[in-house]
Amino acid sequence: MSGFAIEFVSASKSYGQTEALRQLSLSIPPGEIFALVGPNGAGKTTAIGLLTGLLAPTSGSVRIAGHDLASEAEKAKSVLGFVPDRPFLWPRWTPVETLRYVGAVFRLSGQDLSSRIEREISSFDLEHVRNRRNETLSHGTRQRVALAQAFLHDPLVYLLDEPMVGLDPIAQRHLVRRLREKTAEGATVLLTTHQLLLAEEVGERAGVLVGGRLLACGSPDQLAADESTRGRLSEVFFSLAGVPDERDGRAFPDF
Amino acid sequence: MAATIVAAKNTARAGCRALVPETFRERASLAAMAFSGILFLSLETWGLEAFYRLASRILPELPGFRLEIFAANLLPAFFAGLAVLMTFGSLTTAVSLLFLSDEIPFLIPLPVRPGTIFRRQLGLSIAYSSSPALFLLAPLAGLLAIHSEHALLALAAFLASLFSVIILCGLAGALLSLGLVRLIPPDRARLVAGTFSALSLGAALVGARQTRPERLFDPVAAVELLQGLASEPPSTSSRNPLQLLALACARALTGDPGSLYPALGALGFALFLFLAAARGFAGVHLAAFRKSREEGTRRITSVREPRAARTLTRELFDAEVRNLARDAGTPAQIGSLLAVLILNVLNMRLLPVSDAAGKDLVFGLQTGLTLFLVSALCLRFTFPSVSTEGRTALLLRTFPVDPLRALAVRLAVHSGVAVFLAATLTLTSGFLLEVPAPALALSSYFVLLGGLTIPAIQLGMGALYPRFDAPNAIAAALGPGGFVAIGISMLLAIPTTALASREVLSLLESLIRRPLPHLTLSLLWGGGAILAAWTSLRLGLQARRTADLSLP
Repeated sequence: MSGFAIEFVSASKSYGQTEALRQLSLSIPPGEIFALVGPNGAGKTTAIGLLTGLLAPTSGSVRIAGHDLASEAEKAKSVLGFVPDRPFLWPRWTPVETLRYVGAVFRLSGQDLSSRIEREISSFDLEHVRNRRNETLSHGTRQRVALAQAFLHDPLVYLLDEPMVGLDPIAQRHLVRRLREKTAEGATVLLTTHQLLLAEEVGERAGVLVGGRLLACGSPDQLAADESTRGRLSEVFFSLAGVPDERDGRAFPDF
Repeated sequence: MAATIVAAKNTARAGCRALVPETFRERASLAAMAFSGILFLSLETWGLEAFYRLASRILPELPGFRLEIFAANLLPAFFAGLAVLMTFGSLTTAVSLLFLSDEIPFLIPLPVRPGTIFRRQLGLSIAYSSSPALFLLAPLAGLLAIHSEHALLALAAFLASLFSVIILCGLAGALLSLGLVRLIPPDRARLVAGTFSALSLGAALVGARQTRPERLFDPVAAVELLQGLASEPPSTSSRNPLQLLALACARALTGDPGSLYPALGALGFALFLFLAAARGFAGVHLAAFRKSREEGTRRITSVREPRAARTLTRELFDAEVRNLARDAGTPAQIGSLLAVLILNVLNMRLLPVSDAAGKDLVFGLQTGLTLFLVSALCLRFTFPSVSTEGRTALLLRTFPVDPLRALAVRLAVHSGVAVFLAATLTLTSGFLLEVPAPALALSSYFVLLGGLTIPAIQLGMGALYPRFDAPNAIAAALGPGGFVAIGISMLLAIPTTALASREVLSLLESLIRRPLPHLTLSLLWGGGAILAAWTSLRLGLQARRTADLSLP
């Protein structure tokens, strides 16, 4: 056991001639929120795919809470809470039925499961839709159900792929609060996002992935102080992505 | 295990909810489906019961007729047909459920063993692909139980044999899909599998047609055929497993309790192989699934030089042709149509019709059949063409394109295909039967006008009753709108059988004891078809322009 919640050890992934992820080495300790940013096609989804077992690394290894995804997949996944970029919900089930199923998969049952379901229903404001079919829910509500099922079993590691998509500002703020509570209890969060401000404000550390390589990694202060990066996350991002700064590293140009 | 029970309970609850619809549209949809299903099953049960009563009166009078030998000789062909259809049906379903289902990327990150996921999807593939066969066979199994002296024994042997064939062949099809996806990406593999499936159905139909069932209508040939089937017992030392299952079912009809053992043994063997394959091939499936996702990322389409946009109508036309050509059901439908064409040619060649009256009768029936085929194809492709826009409908509504022009272009593409199909079938039949030119011209009038108006009716109804949230084209067609559309189309198709055949018209005249003015009725039919198409298109167009559009 290395003590890290998430570890990429020289993990590479190739699709034929295309190298989607090159020798990624990254360790995230328990209790940290780590934001992974990068332009489209940088390898973020591939990194998430390796952590969830949807993809197998071409070389290197990936570990969650010390469990190798290749040899101890079930143990690794049992401490994982995952929200994909496009959440899947069984269309004809209700949110409560969905949560009951996910709870059973994580070996929860009885009163414990029922109280957790009520907790998440209340937390993500799903009370008024709890018995409606998933297929009738709006995009934002579906996202809240997907978040509720990721939080249901109090995982040690949260993997959130673009979690804010479809959420209103109230739900976004609530999600950040829940994530901070969880990390205070020792859980770890890896989130991918295109919202640089979110990554900067929420992430204790951030990594910039470009062309399958992790070109920068550190806390906002570290990134600002580093000779090679020197600047706010948005400045670092545009610089590493090869896009000239519009003005003082702001994300959007001044009109 | 607990999760499986929760999933089963959830699915059962979801099924019960579907039986208690909330909105009028859902209620109408359920009523339409229930009505169609009950009507179909009732007609099938009635037909089988009538056939049974007739056979039980006539067959015992045949010298040397023995029911168990008759069953033992017929059932292998039945099981063989089922085996072929199940293998290819399961191949298509398995490509979708093992590789293209959104459930797999949801289930893999959960702490569920790959073997459990694979077993689940494998079971679903077999269940889904066998459901049409089970639906069709339910009345037969029921009649077997009611009329057999040893109802439970006969039913148990038949069901055990049936399910062992379904499981083994479904499993074979699903395992074939693993190999197919290693060669071709899943989205294309589904099209290839669908084509195989349609061709196998076509081959089964052509094979059944080659046995010349029309011999049963000739008393002398029918007696010879039945005596042959009911007096020569099949070899009991056969190594053909389908033959052995057939023998077990036949022995069960005579009340032999020992007949249950081979059937139950086959079922046990099938279940054992299912579980062993689910365990043994889980790793292969996971690797193939991952590879298919990688290929989806890697695939690079050839870069073409952008061409200048042509007129709006031409661009809309090209887009419609693309949509139709890339529809997942198109290759399978082409395979089915090929089979229909071969069957048509076989029918014309094998049917003993040489006199003018016989030719007139067959050609009339052929006209009605052609328009029935056009109606069915339009229900699959034309009616859902609005619904399958899905969320794109929101975007299309904002485009500065007149809905009239968009509907007109869509109609041109769909009716073009329908007219081509109808004309091909009619001209082939006409030339093979050597019907006189006036009869060919009359039939052409019906199929050409039907080929133009039936797509218009279905398109209009599809626009009037769109289901943008339907998961696929078939689900979109299985609603009240689809029911109304196919109803009107059939009202147009059925009368053409009489109007295109002097013989059928004379029969009707003798039944109602008054003359039927042929020319007036034909013109009235044409007027009615045009009116129905115009009304349907107008209603659909109005809905496209003004109806509220709201999608979750």
